Amino acid sequence: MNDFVSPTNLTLQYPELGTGPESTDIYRDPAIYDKEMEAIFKRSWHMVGRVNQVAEPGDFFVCDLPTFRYSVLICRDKSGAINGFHNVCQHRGNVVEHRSSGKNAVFMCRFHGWSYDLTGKLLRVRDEAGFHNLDKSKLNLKPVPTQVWQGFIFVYVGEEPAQSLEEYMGQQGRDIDGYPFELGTQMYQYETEVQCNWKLLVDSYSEVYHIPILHPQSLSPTMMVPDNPNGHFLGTWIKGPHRTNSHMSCFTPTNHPIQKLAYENQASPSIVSAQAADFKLPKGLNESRAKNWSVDLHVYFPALSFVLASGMYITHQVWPLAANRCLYRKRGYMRKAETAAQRFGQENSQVEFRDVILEDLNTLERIQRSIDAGLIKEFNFHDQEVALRHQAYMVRETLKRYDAERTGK
Amino acid sequence: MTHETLLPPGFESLEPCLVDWVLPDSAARSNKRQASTIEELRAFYDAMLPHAEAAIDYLRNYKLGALPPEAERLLKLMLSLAEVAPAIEWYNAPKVYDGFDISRVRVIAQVPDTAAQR
Repeated sequence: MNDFVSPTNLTLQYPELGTGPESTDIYRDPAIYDKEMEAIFKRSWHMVGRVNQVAEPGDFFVCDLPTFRYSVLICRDKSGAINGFHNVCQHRGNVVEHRSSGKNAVFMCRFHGWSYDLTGKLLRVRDEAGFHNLDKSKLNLKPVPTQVWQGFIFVYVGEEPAQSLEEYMGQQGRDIDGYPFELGTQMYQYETEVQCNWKLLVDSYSEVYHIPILHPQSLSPTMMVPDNPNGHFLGTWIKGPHRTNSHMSCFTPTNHPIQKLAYENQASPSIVSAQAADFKLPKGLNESRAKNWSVDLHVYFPALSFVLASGMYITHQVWPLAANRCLYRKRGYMRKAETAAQRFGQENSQVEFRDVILEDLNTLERIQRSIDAGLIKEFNFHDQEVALRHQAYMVRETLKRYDAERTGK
Repeated sequence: MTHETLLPPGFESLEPCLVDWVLPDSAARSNKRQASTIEELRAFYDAMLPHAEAAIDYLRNYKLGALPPEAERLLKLMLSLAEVAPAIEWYNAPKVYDGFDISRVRVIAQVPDTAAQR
């Protein structure tokens, strides 16, 4: 705890970001929003689940993509391959699978009964004789580009991926190779619509400047410690379009007896690490190798984030719905609890995280109202808000490239 | 006729908590916390606190998926305590201070309470 040197001037390490105020137009303007959808979201890989949801041939799940207002159907076929399809029956456009998960040999549309196999091939058209000149070879399920990274299944919603998933995850993705994602078998998920621009939601967990004020009872006692009174990051690393924030905290003996009891009875270290990692740290986790490291936030542009602790992790996903609305989807992945005592620690971790997020979200809707009303035209970012500056920079740069492409320059 | 053992020996005094605080899952516990007054939450917390360490020591001996009914009830009480603890220890109120309306949050998936985890 006495080896911490608070990094200053994070922003100056990345001169392309500048240090001036950031216009709030990209958080408000519907025309900019529409362009973001074309230039960014339709050209990104989107995480839909994990391979253990389709462990065996015939296993399937459906994942809603709120931004695009449709769902994808993911399944494992008999050869062991993981396939992704638009969840659309080719007869009249009903969903081909209406359940959220299960095991199937065939998918049968619950409207007129057309059925498809696990590779998407149209198997059977009920009462087929009644159709005129039906070309069944053109009526297979429409595949969606589907690839796997570290056990996470991603889909691409555009026609042809501009880059492979591995290329998209880039340096930050390579630097985390070796992290035991597969141990986080116990998943919980919740989601909520928030009346704010999607970037405000990503921003909310990308800076710690707000921690002592907005989270005084929850996060502050472990993150604000004597030699880091402002709870600064251990570091921020910008890696191409993506970025990592590394957090410190101290497992201080708390005067909250139930919280303490829960921290001492985790199946594996949660956000406040009372125990060391039981695996070799990949380069990109706790990159500064600090003693009081607690978690990293890895943001993959535009809107997928991982909170990585040594014994559990979280994914935050933000799905834009309009310039001032988004859907926030959170999944927590915990290691399995063996004993009933560990189940108690596991539940505490889930409850604490949820309450912390409830502390965050109101501010975002209030900011959005101020922006929409024209009452805040610029953001002045603190050095510890450098990740927000980079997010805005990435949006502007990507839109600029998109414009140049379209005008042929 | 012998009295059925609802909780393990030493935890009999917690029996009055069973009616309100043995709940099916995380979502139900969250709803219960939100629907309670701080006085009700404090009464439960105060009843549980003196037994919490002993309860964890006891539950450490039981694997999930193989809990006898009385141990399962004790675990369920402790899971409710995990839900209630921030209300007492952080907020002194059922709800998160100045927090987002939790009724807007949809629970999509939960970790099972007592089944063996794989």
